[in-house]
Amino acid sequence: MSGELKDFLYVFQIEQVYNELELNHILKDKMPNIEEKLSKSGIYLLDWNFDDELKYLFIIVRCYGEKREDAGSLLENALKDSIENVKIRKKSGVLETRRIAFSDRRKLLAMLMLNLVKEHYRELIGYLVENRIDISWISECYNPRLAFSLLFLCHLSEGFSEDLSELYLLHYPIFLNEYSFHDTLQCINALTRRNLLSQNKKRITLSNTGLEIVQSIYRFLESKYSEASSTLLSIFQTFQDINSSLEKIIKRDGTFEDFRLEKIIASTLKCGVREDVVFGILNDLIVIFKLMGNLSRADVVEAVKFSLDKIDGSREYSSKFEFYVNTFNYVVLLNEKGRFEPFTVPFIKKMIRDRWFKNTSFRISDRIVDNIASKTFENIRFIYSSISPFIPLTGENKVLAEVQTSFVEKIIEKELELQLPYFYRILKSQNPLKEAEKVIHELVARSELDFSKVLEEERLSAMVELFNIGAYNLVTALMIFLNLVPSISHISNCTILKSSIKELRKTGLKMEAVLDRSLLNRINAFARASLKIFYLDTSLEAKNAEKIADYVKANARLGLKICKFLISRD
Amino acid sequence: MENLAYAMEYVQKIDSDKSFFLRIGIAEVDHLKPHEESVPESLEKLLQAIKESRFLKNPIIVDFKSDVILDGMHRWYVFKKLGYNYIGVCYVDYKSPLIKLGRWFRFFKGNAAHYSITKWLENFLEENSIPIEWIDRNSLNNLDVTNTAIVLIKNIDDVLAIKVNHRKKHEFYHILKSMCTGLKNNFGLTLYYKPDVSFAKLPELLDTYSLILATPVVEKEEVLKVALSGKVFPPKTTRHEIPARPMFVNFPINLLKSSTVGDLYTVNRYFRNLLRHKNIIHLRPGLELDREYREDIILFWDTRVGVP
Repeated sequence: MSGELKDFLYVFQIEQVYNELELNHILKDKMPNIEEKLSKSGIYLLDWNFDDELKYLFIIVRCYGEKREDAGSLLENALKDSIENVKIRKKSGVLETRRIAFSDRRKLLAMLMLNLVKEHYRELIGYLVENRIDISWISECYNPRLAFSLLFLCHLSEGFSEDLSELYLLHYPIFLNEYSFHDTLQCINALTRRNLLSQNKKRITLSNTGLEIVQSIYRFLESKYSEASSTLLSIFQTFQDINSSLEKIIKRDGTFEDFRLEKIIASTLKCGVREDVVFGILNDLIVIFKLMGNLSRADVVEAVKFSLDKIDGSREYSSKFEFYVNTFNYVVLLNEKGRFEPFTVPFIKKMIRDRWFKNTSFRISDRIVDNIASKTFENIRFIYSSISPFIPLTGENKVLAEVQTSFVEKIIEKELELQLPYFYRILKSQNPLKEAEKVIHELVARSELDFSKVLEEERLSAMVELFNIGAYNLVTALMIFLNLVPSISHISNCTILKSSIKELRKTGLKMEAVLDRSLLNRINAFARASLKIFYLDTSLEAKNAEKIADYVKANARLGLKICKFLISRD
Repeated sequence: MENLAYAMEYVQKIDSDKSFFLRIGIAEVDHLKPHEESVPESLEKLLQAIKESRFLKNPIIVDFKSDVILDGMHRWYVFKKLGYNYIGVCYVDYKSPLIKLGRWFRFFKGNAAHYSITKWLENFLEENSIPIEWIDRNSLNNLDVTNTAIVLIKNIDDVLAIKVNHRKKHEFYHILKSMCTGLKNNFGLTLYYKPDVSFAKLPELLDTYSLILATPVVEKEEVLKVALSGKVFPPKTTRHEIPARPMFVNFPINLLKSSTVGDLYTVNRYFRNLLRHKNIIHLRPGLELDREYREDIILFWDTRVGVP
């Protein structure tokens, strides 16, 4: 093959049948196969990007010039073979292209180091003089601070191309408002004249002298960085101090969120990073955040990954963390039909309702379903983040892992068993109606016992504790009786019971056959009192102890009356 | 220039001694000045699309010295109509000889009789007190193209030269707009806008079209003067050729809508934080998407495959 390898861009228009999420996932899934197919013909896939709004798929490949047409046809065929049910149309024309790209890690390093140079410029000069590094060349640079930064960036980007395009990605974020492009050119020329940079036809690279200076700069900056991170926590005392000292974080969609260090700690812990490691990186993180000034969400993620990698060279923690934060909105579910579906909290809610509540007379509140769905989602994220080093990630894209439906079903069932134990027991039994009655009797019997003990108890705290247990059992029994699903949260049960009674009074008076209006009022009053008693802090109520004891006992008696009704209705 | 707020500067090397500066950022909608009217149908379609969009994909092109919009007029009108505070822009130096200013010629198709059209045109222009002259096709090259519009009609050898005379250029263009509307409505002709071509090529195009209107040349100074005085040309008056164009920058609509972020510098600083995570693909002319782009393209890119 003659000539040189070049990069070419191909554009495909995709008329999709799938939803955007599914197509994105399919592309991610199929690209490695397409890459392999192409490489057999000496064509190398460099990068790809899919614009989900306009449905353009951009692909860059590297090949010899004479293969450009073959590459286009091969790509088109490979895409058509790999992705079913979509129309793929190659836009005419192949374009020679040049990609200027750096990983977020390099960009972060550039930001950190350049900001450190800015902050400690004078000290840096002192350090270099002290270490007998020749800095006579700075007199020729119109902007010596810029010169140091450029040397460092040249090292970080492994040289500059002739048009200095690397600087747009690494340099502009920091110096945009300080130096013009002409300042930069002047500086590069001065550094070349003084033999710190060397220019050949196509690249500008560091000379040995330049490299020596960069190494010294790096040593200095590293010491400054460590110094900062070891002193920071003594300055910041609380999360609030830290949070309020940092600006809002911008998210990719242009919305903002307050910086909250505790949120970062929580997600790092949740994805399985050891507690000592999480607290070990805190100072480091604060230094980074302070240096960078204002941040995007992607900056925060990269900073956490960077700090984790400094502790854990295997990158296991950072990969877990990346998986965890990128699956905040959704992962992908592979259903029985072999199709990808977005795996979101609303999706799990639908699964719960379809599987568990479609054929039952029990009604469940949205709040409880939300809670179970969120817990299930968290569990899946947690489970998958532990194996994330083996799951390919796609950077900014949130489409990450395939989760089998049956596996999700199991997690939901486990969650249901934990959070709705009585409902689960009833539904799993051979005769749910009979089982429901059995559960009601058991619960009422326990309640009666507890309320009787309340009436005999003298100590307020023990009285309240007994009442709460009795009330929990009675409210649960009442909910089952009214075909409502009780959860393990007493507060939530009382609230649901209260609003159901309200609803019954308003509309569903068909229940009056078994529940007369006065009983409805009693149940409502009991639920309200139960909530009040639950929130009582007995240690603060010494003054009114007697009054409160009377109130608790009165409600225990009310509870007993309701228990009697539930038993006598047989 | 010192007070200009933007998020990124990109210098595109056109050839060894020519560079073109692009400054990408966010500007206040109310601060920018259009120089052309919008087409109501296009505006409505675009409004729906932008309302449903999460991002403004491409910046509008704006002269950094005057804040006059050179390209992306419809997007600006939509943002104005939706009441958004900010819009994504790419500031350029309009004075740069690298930015060329072309025109849109009007091409008509239809089967109306040439003598009726001619009669109608003469009457219309007389009513509007516009001086005209029938000239020989061979003398087209000697025309003062900045002060004359010409009409070529199928089956008529002579060419109708319409003089701008002492009128202001934008007023003259508005009369031409009414003339085109009249031709469409009275003779059922269909109107097509095409980039300007040399006069020598026009007669042969009469094989395809029944009437061609070659609009007069507009100078950059005239564009600035009209826009800065708060007036506008009709749609499709100017055709700016920019040597390099940023695409797929993806300005988040949420950020552009927002009114509580802070001053323009703060908004741009925030946007820079998002832009920082993108990489750049540089393309020579020829990218074909919704149309063919004849300029260099700076494509902003979310990398999927590993980079150093």
